[in-house]
Amino acid sequence: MHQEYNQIPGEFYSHLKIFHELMSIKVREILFVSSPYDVFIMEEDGSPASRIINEYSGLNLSLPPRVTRTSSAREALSHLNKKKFDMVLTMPHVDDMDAFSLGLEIKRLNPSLPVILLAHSPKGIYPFPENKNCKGIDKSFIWSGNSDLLLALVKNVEDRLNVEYDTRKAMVRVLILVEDSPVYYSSFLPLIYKEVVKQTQAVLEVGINEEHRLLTMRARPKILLAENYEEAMELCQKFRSYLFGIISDTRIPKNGRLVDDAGFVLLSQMRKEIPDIPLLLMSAKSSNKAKADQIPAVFLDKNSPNLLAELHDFFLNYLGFGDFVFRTPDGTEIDRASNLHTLEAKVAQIPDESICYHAKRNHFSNWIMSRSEIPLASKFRQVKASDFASAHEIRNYIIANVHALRKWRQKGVIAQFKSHNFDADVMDFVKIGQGSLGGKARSLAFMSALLHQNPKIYENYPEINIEIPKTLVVSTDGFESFIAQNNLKDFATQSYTNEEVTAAFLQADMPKWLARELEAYLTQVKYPLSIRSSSLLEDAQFQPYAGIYETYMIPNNHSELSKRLAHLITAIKLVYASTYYEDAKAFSRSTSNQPQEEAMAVIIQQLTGEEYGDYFYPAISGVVQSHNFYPVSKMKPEEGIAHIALGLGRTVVEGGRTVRFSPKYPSVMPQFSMVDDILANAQRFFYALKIKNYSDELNFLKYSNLEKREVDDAEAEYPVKILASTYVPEEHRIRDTGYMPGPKILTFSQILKYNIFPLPQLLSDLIELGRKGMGCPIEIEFSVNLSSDKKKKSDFFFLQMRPMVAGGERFEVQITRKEIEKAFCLSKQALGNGKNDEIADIVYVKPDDFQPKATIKIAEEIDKLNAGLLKEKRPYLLVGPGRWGSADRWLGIPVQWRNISGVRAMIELRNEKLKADPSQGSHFFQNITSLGIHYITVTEGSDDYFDWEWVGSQPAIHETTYLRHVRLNNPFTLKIDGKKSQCVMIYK
Amino acid sequence: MTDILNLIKNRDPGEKEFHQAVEEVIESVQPVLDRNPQYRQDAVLERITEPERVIMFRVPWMDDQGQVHVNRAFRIQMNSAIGPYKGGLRFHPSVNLSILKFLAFEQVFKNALTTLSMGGGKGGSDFDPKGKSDNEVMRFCQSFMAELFRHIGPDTDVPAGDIGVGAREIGYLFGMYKKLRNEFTGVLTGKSLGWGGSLIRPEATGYGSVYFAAEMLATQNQTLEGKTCLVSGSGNVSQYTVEKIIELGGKVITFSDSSGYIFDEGGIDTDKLDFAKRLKNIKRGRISEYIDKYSGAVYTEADTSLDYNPLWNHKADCAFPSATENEINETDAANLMKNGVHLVCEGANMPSTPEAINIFLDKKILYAPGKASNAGGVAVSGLEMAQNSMRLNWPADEVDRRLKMIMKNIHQTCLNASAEYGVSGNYMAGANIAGFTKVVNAMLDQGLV
Repeated sequence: MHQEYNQIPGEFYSHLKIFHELMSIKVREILFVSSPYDVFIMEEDGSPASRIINEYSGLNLSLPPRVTRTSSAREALSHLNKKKFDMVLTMPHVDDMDAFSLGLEIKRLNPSLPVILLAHSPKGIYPFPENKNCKGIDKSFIWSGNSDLLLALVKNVEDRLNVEYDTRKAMVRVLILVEDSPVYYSSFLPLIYKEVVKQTQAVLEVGINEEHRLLTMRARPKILLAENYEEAMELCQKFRSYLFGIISDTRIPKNGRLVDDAGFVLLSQMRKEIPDIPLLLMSAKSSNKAKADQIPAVFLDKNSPNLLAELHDFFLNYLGFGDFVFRTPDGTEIDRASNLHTLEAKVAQIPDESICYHAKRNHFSNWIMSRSEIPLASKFRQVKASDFASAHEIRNYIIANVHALRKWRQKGVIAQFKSHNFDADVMDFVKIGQGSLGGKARSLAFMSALLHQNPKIYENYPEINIEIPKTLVVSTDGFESFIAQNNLKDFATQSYTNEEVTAAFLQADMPKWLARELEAYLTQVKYPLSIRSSSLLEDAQFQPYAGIYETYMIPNNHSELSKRLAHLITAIKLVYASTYYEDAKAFSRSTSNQPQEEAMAVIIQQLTGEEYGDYFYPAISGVVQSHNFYPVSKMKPEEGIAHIALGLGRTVVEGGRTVRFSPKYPSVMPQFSMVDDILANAQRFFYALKIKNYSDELNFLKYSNLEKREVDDAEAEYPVKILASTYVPEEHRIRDTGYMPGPKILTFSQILKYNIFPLPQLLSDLIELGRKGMGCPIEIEFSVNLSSDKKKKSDFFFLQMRPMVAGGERFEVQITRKEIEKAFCLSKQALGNGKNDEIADIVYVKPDDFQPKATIKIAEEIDKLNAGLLKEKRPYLLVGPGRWGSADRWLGIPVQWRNISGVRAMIELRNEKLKADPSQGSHFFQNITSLGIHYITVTEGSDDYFDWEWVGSQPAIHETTYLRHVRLNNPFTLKIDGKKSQCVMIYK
Repeated sequence: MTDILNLIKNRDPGEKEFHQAVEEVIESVQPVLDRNPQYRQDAVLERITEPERVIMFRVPWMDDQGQVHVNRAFRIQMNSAIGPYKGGLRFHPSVNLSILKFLAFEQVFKNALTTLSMGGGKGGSDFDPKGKSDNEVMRFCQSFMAELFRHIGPDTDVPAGDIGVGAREIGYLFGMYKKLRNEFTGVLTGKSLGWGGSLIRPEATGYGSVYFAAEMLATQNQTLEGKTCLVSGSGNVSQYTVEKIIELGGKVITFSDSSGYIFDEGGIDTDKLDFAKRLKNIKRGRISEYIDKYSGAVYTEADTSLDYNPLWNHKADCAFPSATENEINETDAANLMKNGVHLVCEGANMPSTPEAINIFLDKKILYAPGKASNAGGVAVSGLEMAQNSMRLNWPADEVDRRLKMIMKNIHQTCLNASAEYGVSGNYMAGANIAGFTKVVNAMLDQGLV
């Protein structure tokens, strides 16, 4: 059924997008031509302009038009020459010209500009004077002092201008009013408009925000006014597929003369054509009710003292603005539904005969349409009750579609958590408290909106559920109240160990109001949860993903609610405590924020994954960055880079063994080129949450309740089977399947080479979307559940998006011309990004003493120097010819990683003695990329240089046969502009 | 000797790797040259240092994006005096004529020593398989073979894998050869088991090394039974060395990797070996995890500031350095002697430094140089050719039985040669001389061709 819903054209999915396109022609500038006298009369209740504004705001409508008033026709025409107006409103008499002549003049200037005649009485304008050319007037209205009319006539003009596009684009409904008398329609039209606006607003689903609400209003029914039978018939035929209802007077002009029952003929005809259309026949003669019954149509006596109430009834009961009233075929009311939520619930319960009764009469469609849920209403209208084999099928169809719609409605929306109306199933993003959401939660909300506005992503990947995990944010006031109530403020400023902070926070009490809300939440939410911080400062500081604040996971499936609540509260306290941990405080200070200013929101999020035996974990977790600082082989920096691993994301965050690939070239994996590389680099451990047989107390302080498992132990579990390859030791080869005997090696080949799940393409699209959305390079954390059931979709969860950082630095590194002039080293081929001013030690291979045959000896010498520098904790720059870490001793110095483990930056010199392309892709190089070592290639004899004279003049603190170690008094500055791959090193 | 070196250097001045290899070989066979004036007369050095044929060719291929690339490839057919050229193909950016000539030259003597009918050759390309997709590797291999196929054949030249050429590449190369020639023959070794590969390949070097050690002990009427052994490394060679030692009744007390070593005084039994195999082959963990499972063992972390490796400083009878180059230096050699080790059998390539080797030779212990004792791998390649020719796949025990026989022959050949040249029991000299004389004598027999 869910799939069914997906068959609606994709553009409908983005409600916001489609609504933005509706009502595209708005009346923003009105030219009001009236004599001072008319104005005087009108202004008794305030100027027309202020009345319109009042009406708009009273009905919660946006952008009231501006009114420019003029008292002469000549002046009016001159205004029209100078400025663009959307509508002209004229009184019958202005000093120099009558309204009809002015209309003609205006039409000569601009034939499509609506000209509306507004008169104090019908005299002289109804019927139009026969001796005048009245073609300059589009409509005439009678002013009776009711300012609703001003709104109605503006809206009516707008409706007429937009109706063709909006019906075509969004199947917006059309309500036709057939009335020839300006006196009547001048009073009916405002009534109908007000009713439509109010009713539409009243039935919009709860929980959507203001912007959403205003946009949805654009899809309210259009009201078109016809003044005679022919015009009415033409409108009915033209908008036949979109007709919402027809309200007609009984006596209307036909063939140029008033005919007593023309309205009756019209409605009878339409009843024949569209059996279920709501019809209303009006008449000043109560005897015409019999005619109405004959059609059948609802009858309204124009002289009734309860005219308004009766019209209101028609809206509620026939146009679907009221409750949905479930009836048996004999009309007996059996139940009611006031919103989609209750409709979904009630449809499940009511008897088959009632379902069929309503389905056959399109009642569901009408009712949903009145809620501006156009796609679903149209969908319901397009299928017939007879298309279904049984009432049961109809019932399921309705439930599934309404449910899908309700879910969709909530996307991109942060609703306030209220225990009484919380529905965990459809509310994807809720918050407790009125405080700030914090950086991470804000970015989640942004992401949610971004996805919502870009429905193409969903269309392009119909086989994947792309989602943001269900989220509850406890806003910062929860934290503030917790700190205040328990007197914990001191921990912000005084020096305490992390253990002391933890102990104090665990002992403190959660504020009662918060605990109550959390309990209400947990009564509905029973899936595993991750609890993490969303700090106020985080996003502002572009904090890297190896976060400072802790994240905790809880299984949340204990049979006792009190235990689950206790786990959740413990996790929240621990997240709160991490605000005042030493690292966090130091970080705050380093950013010139005071730790006591920090307030923490908490994100309680559905943990993504699936159950495998005693454990719960996603098949894939990963991070994708839109900029690749270490582009190797054919990769380009702007194509981005992804790291993926099996299980929960901790492996990726900790910098464990992951698979690194460019989303553009997923089958190119430099670290997985040869069998030995694959064996050395493949992931061995992964993190999973134990959801069965865990201790009641959990184990918060070790891996946040997670367990580190061996891939090998999970080889029977689906994700390993599908993502792993098998090593065949007899042949020393790896076969790309997990379904054969032998050791399992996680290569992710099925995804990266054989595309069983289009992760690389999806990541490419998402980083593009994210980069445009955020306006800077970004990184996205995600996870994937792979479905083992072909009929079920796999899930892609968007966990986090933030501006990209590298090595704790902001992305932008500027290198000035002056810096280049002062630099002792310049390179145009540098990997990495950022600035480093912690290196004061330089170890270099003496250029004059270097011999290619001595490379092994040189590696040994480096090993010894490295051991000493490591002990002293002094990072250093290593400079030498050829390819560092080469397995081939003739191409460079064959160091292993452990020989240079303390290095912070490396220069490989390319010169006449050794010319080799940089070795990129080895395990050695993996370390360089994952540790963010600056790797700089200096090609001597090009624009690059390294100042040998300067470095030679620095006193050596150590010299061996081939090496020289100098220590500067102060660290030098190294800067790499990752975008240009340019590097300078400057010593002041 | 200086003359021939000068000649080579003048003729091919850029080939420094090749020059070094020639220098080393000539040095090691100096006594043979001194004793056989015919060799000089017939210019065997000039002949043996000049490849019989060098094929250099262009390999154009297209990447996944449609971009055309051109690599340079070679096949050095160095010497076929005792059998079809045999030697690996290497795909690595460092590949050039000099390196391949150097490798092909060494291969001639290595193959000769196995006592099988295999000449020497080497080939490859400067193509870098790193960062290439499977399809790109396939296209490259096909283009490579589209030229090479006319120069090789089961009775002409039988390439094998080497750096950058594994089972995947051998498969692609074989497929293209088969298509072009329309014949299914044993033109390459290192094939997958399902279509012509041989069993006992992973075991060959380790098993072979132990067979060689057992032969050395037999000369002194000893066996491995009850002998305490030190084994370094924990990869394939080490694991199968340990397996065979256990099978022959010895006791192994060490294993190592780059992070450190474990010392298990009680001895590594079959269960412990299985654990270590699983740890290293499947889980790819650190050897330190061995002590998590077997608490009786002691783990010592590698300390680069030490000038010796403590693994070699335990009481033992035999040592099997099976990890890496230069892992036994002068101090380690002295420690081995001090601890009673009287047999060193090299499973790795050149694990002992020249200074260490001098100590072994001085002390006249049983010392097997890698070029002889780790020839098991090459030997099984030869056995793969034999099986292909017979259109038979031998079971594992048959391959193992033949491997044992080959190692026994190698041992005997080395021993005989050393005795013949008056350095009895010096396997190093014996191996150098035996390989060289076998090739040279065959060349002389076959006349000036």
